[in-house]
Amino acid sequence: MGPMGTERNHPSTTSSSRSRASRASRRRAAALPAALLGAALALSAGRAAAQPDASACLSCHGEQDAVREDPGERKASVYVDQQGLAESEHREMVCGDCHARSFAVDPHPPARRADCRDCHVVNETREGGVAFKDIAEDFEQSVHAQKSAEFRCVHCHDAHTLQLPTTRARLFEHNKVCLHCHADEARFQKLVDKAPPDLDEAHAWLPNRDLHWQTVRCLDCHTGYDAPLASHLILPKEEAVKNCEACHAETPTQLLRRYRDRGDGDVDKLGFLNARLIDDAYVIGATRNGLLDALMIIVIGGAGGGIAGHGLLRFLFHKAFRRRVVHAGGHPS
Amino acid sequence: MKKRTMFPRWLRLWHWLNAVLFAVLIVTGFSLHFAGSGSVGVGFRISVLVHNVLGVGLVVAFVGYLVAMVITGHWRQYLPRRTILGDSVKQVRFYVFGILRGEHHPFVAVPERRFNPVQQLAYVFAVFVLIPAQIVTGLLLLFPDLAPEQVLGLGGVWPMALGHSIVAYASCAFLFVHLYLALTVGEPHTGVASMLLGDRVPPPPPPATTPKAARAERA
Repeated sequence: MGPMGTERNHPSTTSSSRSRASRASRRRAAALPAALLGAALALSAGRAAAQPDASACLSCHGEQDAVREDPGERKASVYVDQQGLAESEHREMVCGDCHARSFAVDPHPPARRADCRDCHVVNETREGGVAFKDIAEDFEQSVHAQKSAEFRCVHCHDAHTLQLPTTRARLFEHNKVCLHCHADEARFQKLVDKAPPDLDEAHAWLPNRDLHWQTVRCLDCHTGYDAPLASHLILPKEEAVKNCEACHAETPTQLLRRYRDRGDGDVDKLGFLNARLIDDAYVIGATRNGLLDALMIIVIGGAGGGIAGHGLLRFLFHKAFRRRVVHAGGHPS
Repeated sequence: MKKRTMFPRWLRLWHWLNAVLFAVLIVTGFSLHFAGSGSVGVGFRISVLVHNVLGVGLVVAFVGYLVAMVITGHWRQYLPRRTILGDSVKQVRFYVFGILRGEHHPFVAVPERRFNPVQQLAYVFAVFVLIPAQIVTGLLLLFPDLAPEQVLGLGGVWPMALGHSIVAYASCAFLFVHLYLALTVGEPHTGVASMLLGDRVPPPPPPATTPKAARAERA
C-alpha cells in the first residue's frame, strides 16, 4: 500500500545524537530517577525537535530489554523488532514521522505518538478495495470502541511490524494480537475496568477446543461480516458465531472469510475453497471431494440397486415357478 | 437331549447392540459429512457428541466381542474351511440361480458352522478389516493430535477422514446386503426371530455335521 503521501522532513543524524543514544546511556537511562526525567523535559522545552533516523533510535530501541520506567507504573517495553520493522509496510518511514518530541536529551521524554488516521484518512482506499472509511465505521460500532474510549488502532496493529494479512503465518499471528490483552489481565484493565473473561471456560462448548484455537482465528467467529469484508467490527461475546455449520458446511461462510486475503494459483485448478483446505487441514463437512462422493453413490447405490434387482428377479421367478406348478396340477414346495 | 442354540445370548446381545450403534453412527456420520446441506440429518453439534460417544461405545463393544470370541471358541466360526473357494462358487451360484428356482441352501447352518462359505468370507472381512479400520481412523479423527503430522506432504488428518468415509460406505453396503439376506433369504434358525430369541436347535445326529450329509439329511 502507499498511503504515506505526506511531505516529510528527514533531518540528517549527527554523530553526537548517535553517541547519545548509545547502549551505555540506555542502561543508565533505565535507572534514572523521575526527577532527572522532569529536568530533562524542562531543559528540552523550546528546542527544535531533532528527528534522528531509525538506526539511531534502534541503537537503543532495537534491544530486546529496552524498557521505560515511569514512577508508579510498571516497566513498559520500548523495544522495536528490527527485522519486523525492515519487513513491515511502514519500512520506508522514519521514526520521526510518527514520534515527535525533542530527542536532544537523554533519556528523551515519552515521544508523542501520531494517530494512524493522520495518514490513513478515512476516504482512502487501498488496493484490494478495503476503505479506511469502512474500517473506521466498523471500529466505531465494535465492542472495542463501545467499551473503551481509550482504544486505538495501535492496540491491535503494531505499526512497527505491520504487514498485510497475506500469508498463512500471518493469519495465525492474529490470535496473538487478541491474546496480547485478553490473556493479560493487567493489560486488559488498562482499557476496561473489569477482568477479562475466562477464555477456557467461554470456549468449553467447542468440540476439540484446542484444535479450533490452533486453526481458527478469533476474528473468524468474533467479527461481523458486512461488506466489504472488513473485520474491525468486533462483536460482543453474546453475538459471536456459535453455529457449527458456519464453517462445517459445503459453503462455509466463515471459512470463506478467513481465506479472503489469499489469492494464488491453485484456485482455478482445485476450486477456491478446496485449494485452501487441502493446504491447511481437513474440515468436517467442508472438505468435499467429488470423487469420494461419487464413490459413495457407486458403493451404496450399487448395493441398493443390486438388492432391488435381485429381489425383483426372485419375485418374477417365484411367480413364474408357481404358475408352472399350478398349471401342472401340483403345489409349489 | 440338551438342545443347542444357534446364537448364544452374549452373541445376540452384541449383535443388537452393534446394530443400534451402526444405525446411529451412520445417521450421525452422514449428518457430519454433509453438514449444512439443507435437511440432511440432525444438527452438527448433536451429531458430533452422539457420534463420538457411540463411536467409543462401538470400540468397547468390539473389544468385548473379541474377548468373548476367544473365551467361547467362537473365533473358529471365522476359520475358513479348506474347501472355501469351491464352496464359495457353489454358494454364489445358489444366490444367482438356485435361489430363483427355489433350490435348497447348499450349506446348512449348524451351531458349529453357522456361516456359509460366502458369509464366512464376508464376515472375516467385516470383523477383521472393516470394523478395525473404522475404529483406527475414527479414533485418529477423535484425537487428531495422534494422527501423523503430514501424509504425502499434506495434512495428516484428511487421509483418516478419507479412509473413514470409504469404510463407512462399505459398511453401509454390507448392512444393506445383510438386511436383505437376513430378512428374505434366511434359513430356519438363522432368521431375525432366532437372533432375537435364540431359537433352540435340535442337535443333529453325529454324521450329519458335514454339509453333504446335512443335504442328504434334508432330502
